[in-house]
Amino acid sequence: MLFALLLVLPFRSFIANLLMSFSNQRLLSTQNSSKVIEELKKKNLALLLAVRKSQTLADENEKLKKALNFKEDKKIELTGVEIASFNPSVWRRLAVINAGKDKGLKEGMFAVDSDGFLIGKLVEVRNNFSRLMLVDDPEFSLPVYIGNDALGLLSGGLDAVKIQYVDISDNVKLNDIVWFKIPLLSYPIYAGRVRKINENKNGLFLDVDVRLFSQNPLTKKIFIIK
Amino acid sequence: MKERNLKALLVLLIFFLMDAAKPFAYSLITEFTFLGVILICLNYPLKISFLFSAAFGYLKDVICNDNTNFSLLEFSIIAVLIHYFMRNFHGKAAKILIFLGALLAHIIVNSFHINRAAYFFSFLFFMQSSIIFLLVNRLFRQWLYNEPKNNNVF
Repeated sequence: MLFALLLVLPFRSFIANLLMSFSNQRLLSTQNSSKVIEELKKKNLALLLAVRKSQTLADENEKLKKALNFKEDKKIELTGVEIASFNPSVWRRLAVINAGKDKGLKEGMFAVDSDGFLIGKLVEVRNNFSRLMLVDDPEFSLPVYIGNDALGLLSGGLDAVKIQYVDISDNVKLNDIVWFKIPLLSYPIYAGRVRKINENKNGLFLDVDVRLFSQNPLTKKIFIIK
Repeated sequence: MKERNLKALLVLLIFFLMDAAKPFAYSLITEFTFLGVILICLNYPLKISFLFSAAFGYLKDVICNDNTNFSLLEFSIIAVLIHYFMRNFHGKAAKILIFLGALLAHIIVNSFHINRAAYFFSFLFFMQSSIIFLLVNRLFRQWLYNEPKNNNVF
């Protein structure tokens, strides 16, 4: 019994690939039928983000505009993907998606839903599948803006998604939008709203709880921003 | 393979698929595979329990891409411990305590594994898992032993 177990231990990646390709095969039929809807959703999301971009640019001050003008704006590219399976453990929030290097995905790319709200980021990319870390995973972290001028580190968690290291002097209010920008793209990606504000135990920072905009990744089509 | 063992394998496979597919997304905070492992340990001899626990622990590690073989070790140890306690303590109350103890151990071990203590989440996990286990155990025993519907849970 133990000997048999020891025998299969080295074949970890093989079994993983086998299982993933099986999941991909299962999804192929549904992929074809929903291709048209996916294209429309993709266009819709691109338009939505473009509108959001113009709104944000109008609100930004002159100095920031100047700084942004020096950068060359990249055209947004989206890849529609589907969730093939989830991490079987509820203590981690990881999903396996049915696209990998074959569709030009790279580690660190961000995933949004059809409304353009942040879902997570890619932490592992293989040839035909990738692992997506959802925002509420305990190991998720991302530098974000809160409202107009506050900065912090968005950290996932099973009880609540928090923003750490927010300066106590920053004017953070309830319901402020939590957002971030992808380098070379001037589109703001919204993650959620401020739900609760507490003073940190050491008194230097604020602990900010966030209510995510995208709660249930199962019901949404997922897009990867390239 | 005996019909009894096939039933155990089928149950664990279905539970594992439930965990991987998550039809209720993260609204249902439980691990069906872990519940299945306890279920098998409470109803099967050590040899079969250990084999199935290790196999599904390994499968879980493969899917999670966990190089530490965390689930393989956890499930195997849980299987051995449950049988150790069942050999020394008897009765329905002991079985309930063994189940609750296994659940608590799973929560503590996983909290250490992720280096976080999520109290509310752990509480929800404990409650939801207990309730689901009561239902699943009842159905499983009816199927396994053809017990009448009004039989007690454990």
